[in-house]
Amino acid sequence: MNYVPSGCGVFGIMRKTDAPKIDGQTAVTGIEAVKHRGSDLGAGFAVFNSINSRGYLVKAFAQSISDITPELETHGLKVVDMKVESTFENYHSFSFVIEPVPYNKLNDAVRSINERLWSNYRGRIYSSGDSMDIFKGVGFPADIADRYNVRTLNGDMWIAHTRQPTNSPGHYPYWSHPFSTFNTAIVHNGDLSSFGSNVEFLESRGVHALVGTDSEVTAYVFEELLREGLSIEEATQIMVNRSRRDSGNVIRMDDEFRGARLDGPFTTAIGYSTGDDMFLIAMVDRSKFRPAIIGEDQFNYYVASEEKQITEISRNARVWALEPGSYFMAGLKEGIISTGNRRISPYVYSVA
Amino acid sequence: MTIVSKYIQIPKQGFTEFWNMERIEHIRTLSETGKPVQIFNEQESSLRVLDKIRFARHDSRISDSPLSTLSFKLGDITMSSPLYLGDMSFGALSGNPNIALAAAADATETIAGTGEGGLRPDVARYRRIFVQWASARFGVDAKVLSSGLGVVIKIGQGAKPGIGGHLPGNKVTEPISRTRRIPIGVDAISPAPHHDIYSIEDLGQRIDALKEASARPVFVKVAATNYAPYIVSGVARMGAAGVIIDGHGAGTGASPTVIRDNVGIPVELAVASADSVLRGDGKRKGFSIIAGGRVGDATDAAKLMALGADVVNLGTGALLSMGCVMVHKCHIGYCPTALTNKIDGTREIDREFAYSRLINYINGFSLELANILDNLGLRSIRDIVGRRDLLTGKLISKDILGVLGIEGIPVDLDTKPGNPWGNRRDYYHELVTKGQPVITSMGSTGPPDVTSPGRVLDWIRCDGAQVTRPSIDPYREEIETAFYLMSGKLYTSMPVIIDIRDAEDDIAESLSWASVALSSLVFGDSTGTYEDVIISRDGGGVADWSFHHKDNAYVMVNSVEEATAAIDGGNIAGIILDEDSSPEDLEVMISELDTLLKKRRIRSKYDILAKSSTIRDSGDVFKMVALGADSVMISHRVFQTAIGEGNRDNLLEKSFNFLSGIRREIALLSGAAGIYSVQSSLTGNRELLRSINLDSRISAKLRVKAAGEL
Repeated sequence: MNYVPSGCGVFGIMRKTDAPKIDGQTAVTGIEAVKHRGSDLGAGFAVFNSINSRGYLVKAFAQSISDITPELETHGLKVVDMKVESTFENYHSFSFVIEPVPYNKLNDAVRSINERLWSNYRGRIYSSGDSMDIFKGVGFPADIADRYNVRTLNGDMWIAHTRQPTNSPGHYPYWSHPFSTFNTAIVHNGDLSSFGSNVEFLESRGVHALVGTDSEVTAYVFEELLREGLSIEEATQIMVNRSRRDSGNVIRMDDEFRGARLDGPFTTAIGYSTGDDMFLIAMVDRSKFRPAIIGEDQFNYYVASEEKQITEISRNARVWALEPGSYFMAGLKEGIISTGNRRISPYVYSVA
Repeated sequence: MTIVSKYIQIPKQGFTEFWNMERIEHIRTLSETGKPVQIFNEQESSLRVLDKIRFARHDSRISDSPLSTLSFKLGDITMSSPLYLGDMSFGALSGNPNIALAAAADATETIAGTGEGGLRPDVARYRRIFVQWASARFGVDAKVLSSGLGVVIKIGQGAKPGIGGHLPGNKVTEPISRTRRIPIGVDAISPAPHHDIYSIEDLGQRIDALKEASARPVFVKVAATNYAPYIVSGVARMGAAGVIIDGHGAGTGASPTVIRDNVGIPVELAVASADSVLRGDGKRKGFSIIAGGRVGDATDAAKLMALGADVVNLGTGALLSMGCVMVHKCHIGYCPTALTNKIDGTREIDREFAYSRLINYINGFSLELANILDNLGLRSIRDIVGRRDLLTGKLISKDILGVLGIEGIPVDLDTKPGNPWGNRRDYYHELVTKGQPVITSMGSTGPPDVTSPGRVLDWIRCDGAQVTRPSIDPYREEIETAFYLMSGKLYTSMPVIIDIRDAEDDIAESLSWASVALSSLVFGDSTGTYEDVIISRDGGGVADWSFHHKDNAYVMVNSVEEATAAIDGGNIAGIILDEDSSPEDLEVMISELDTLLKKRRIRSKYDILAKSSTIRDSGDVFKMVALGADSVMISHRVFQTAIGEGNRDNLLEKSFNFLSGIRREIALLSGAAGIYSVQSSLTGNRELLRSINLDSRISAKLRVKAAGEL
């Protein structure tokens, strides 16, 4: 597998319990503010909303629909609706609505289909879930927003990304962010030295056919840790990989999930929906090689690469820096679980 | 004071050397005559990839007045010949050589890079210099930046990717102190990464700022590493004028031996790969590649240019023309030829001698290059750049031919033509004497390019982290070298277990004591008094081992089949793969067992311990862990080699130094690769390895990519 590193700008925003939904324009503003960190070689958005009763949404890049539909059907997934959303050179983004099936069945099908498609780069399922939708491709964030009409959508949470590749193989949309597993979207600014180990960890768990970026690997590792029974916070603690001296991880976890820890530079924003609640997470490596800023105001939580991404949306938001080797975590219902900075404790706002 | 004003005799070379007598004599003849001597030289026995590349068709006439022209424009700079003399600092060199280099560059219309050591006024008065912006910023100010024709951001160097510059304190005398603006007598260890460049975006900002401040073109110097082609592409995207790619084997004033010998890839592979990536990205036009690291002669230069370089960098070659006798003592400061000696008023090189030899060398080298063009039917130096079609490969593997993008019949070479042990006594002796990473100087003599490889590991190199993934400074930051074994029940401060079976009592005793002192482990038959650190066969230690199945014990086997049988036999702690009793390659066994257990999804239940008596250096430990070993068992025989047969002085201290030195070297290698958590991030991480013309079938078994592959 080829490894494709990239630098980038990241953005995440999640509403508070009683706050109104967030429109797509806000997400576009948040990521366009760091357009200079990215390039025209990739951008994307993930929007989260409570469960889509129509079924599962599955999205794929491929040259031809005939590469995808039969695969879905072979794996027992019934397509109830399909549309072509956008096209990047020869690659189309197809969006499918699938009749509900048990989560594991869908997940196994997606992995298996991707293994088959990826063996000759025919295509790739890049998003699946019942409360998440992803819009991504080759271009600046504003271009991608236009192509998919992102600005007019509303959501409980948005994750966004602008990409600065140190390489761009053929300008394919495959390598744009967010990367996703079921109801999980990840954007990332970094270059993991643990990439090879993370891949080995996943292969030892039967996950193959990755597109070859550390960002995607991060998404799969997160999912795998949850599958193996860890809580969201435990999974985050393992991945963030503080020094053993103060990680607080018990030795068994340290040993069993070695290879799941991230090493080298990373600032990662994760959006995750459990169905019941929704979580916005940001984590940064112990050296804090890349910037990571957190914000909070009356209505929303924010994760950003630079402060102005937050203040352009909410001039009076309280912002703070994520400490090296720490994570921010908040649930839509649960509120702030970790501020990621020892000097910051969560405000208690009342929504008028 | 001794003034060196002639060539001194070259001492008999006690070990295999890239800069062998033939190469040195060639350079000396060029430097004495200024005339072309020999072109299309072939080094038949060399295993270096560049020596396995030939020009497919050519004549071999040689003339003192060749027809081809070498002049061209490097950006806005008119060059008379595609030669860059760099980047040797004031400090690494002793002053007069720095002046001679700058003066020669002016006189020959080439360029000299000043290196990291600040700018002396008597170098600054020459025009054709590139000044360096390196991680320690020694002696850099706005005036210095605009003193030459260009600025070089030094990210890495070929002799020590992932490691910063190093000027030992004994060489930091008053003139050095003044120029570098550092205290006298203190080691000048530059940070491994630039602490304001942690990403390609950061690098872009520095490039812009330096262009603005200096009004000069900015070049970025990187070491040839696994992802160097991606870095080069990023450098081009960020608006630099060009890149200097410095390959494995390049010279250095001081470097840890394990880094020099194990990290980085040959420049020919990095250049070919970077050129391909740049072309794919549409970034090749208007962007320059300067390639260095073992440019032995004009033939090497022509090959590198045909693979994609615009200019070649002559560092060691220039030193040899000024009289270097390649004794690898730059770091100590007692250079017999006064090129790299400590500046203490006892020995100096004659400036005129150095200057005139350099001029002749550059002229002779250039004339040879023009003759090569003539014989290839070309007219201008620009006609050869990127002409891979002129080249053919001989005795090169399929993978490497692919990276080079040249014709040739793929051939897999014999993996073990040499001695696996090699001449390692000096290295180990210094390790047990100092307990610190062993420091050396000038280019690597390691396998497979120079020393004949004796085992699979000898064909494998480690990664150096740069720019998007900054290297981590083990001198200043904590690298976690500790490993948990047996699902967390067993702790060792490093992935090293000393095998003391069959050791004499006092050796076993001292190594066990050192293991207690450093929280590592030993491996033996009977427990004795060190029950806290020994994996023993009698059930009394921290863990058990056995030749046959035994509950919760490590089982020693000599094949993957035996290993799987032992695992299928029931509840065991792990497998000891014994190299000494096996006809198989240990590397292949480790990797195959690791892969097999991962496929069966039981990898985390068992440890794989790799046992060997022929560990060349700490780099071997690092590589075996990256191939999947959870720890490496090193025979006490290695320690005995280090102390010398029969020697029993200071055994405790030497044992301690041995283990402590290995641990520090593992930390160095990990930091260079950008790793904090060695166990989690290195074990099985083959992405951090690359093979150099290794038998393709073995590469496939190891799942290690070829150098230059992305």
